[in-house]
Amino acid sequence: MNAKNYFIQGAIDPVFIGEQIAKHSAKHAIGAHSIFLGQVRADENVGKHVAGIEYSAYEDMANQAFSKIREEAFEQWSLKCLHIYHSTGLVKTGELSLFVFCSSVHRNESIKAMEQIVEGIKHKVPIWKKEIMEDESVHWVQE
Amino acid sequence: MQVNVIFFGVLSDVVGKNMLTIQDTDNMADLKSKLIISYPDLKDYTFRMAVNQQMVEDNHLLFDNDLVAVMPPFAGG
Repeated sequence: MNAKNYFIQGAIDPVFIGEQIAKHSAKHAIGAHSIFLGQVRADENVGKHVAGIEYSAYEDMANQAFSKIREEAFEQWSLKCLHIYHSTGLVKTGELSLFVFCSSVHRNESIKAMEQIVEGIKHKVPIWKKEIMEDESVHWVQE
Repeated sequence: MQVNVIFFGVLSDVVGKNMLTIQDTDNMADLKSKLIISYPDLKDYTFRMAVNQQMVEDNHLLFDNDLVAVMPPFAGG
C-alpha cells in the first residue's frame, strides 16, 4: 500500500506554494508548469454567507485514490513532476484548499493533464465538505 | 460473523455516529437493508459503499471483520 499523505491540516499557505515553485528551478528539463488552486468561496445559502469549509475524508482510501490519479496522469501524459496537496479540517473563506502542480517539457502536456487531474480529484477521491456559515450553522455540500 | 461499518460526510450526522457493528450479514444488499431498517432516514440520501477501501456493488459478499464504508457523493476540491 502506498503510504504517501496528500493532506495538509487547514489552509494551504501561499508561501508554501511559492517555495514549491522555487524548488523546481533546479529541474532543468522542465519548460512548463501548470498550477491549479482551489479557494473557498463565500457562497450564499438561505441568506447567509459561508465563513469557511470543514473538509473531512476517508484518508486511507483518499490517499490511495490520489496516488492512482498521479499514476494514471504519468501514464497518459509526458509529465516531469506532479504534486497534489488537499486540505483537511477548517479552511476559511478566501483561503486555499487544493494545490495541484504539474510540470512538463512543453506547455501542452501540463495544461491538458491539469484539467483531467483536477476532474479526477473532484470525482474519485472520498472527501466531503461541510460549509460553516457566518452564524456558525452548518450545511453539508451535496454535489 | 460481524462487519464494522463507518459513515462519512452528512451520513455520520444522519445515523448519529461514525461507526457501528452489524451482526449476521453476508452481502452488501442485506447489509444495506439492515442499515435502512435501523436508520430509515438513509433512504433519502445517495450513497456508495466500499469494503476494505475498494468500491463494491450490492452483490459483493462480506466476510467476518470486513470494514464497510458508507459514503455520500464525493465533494473534494
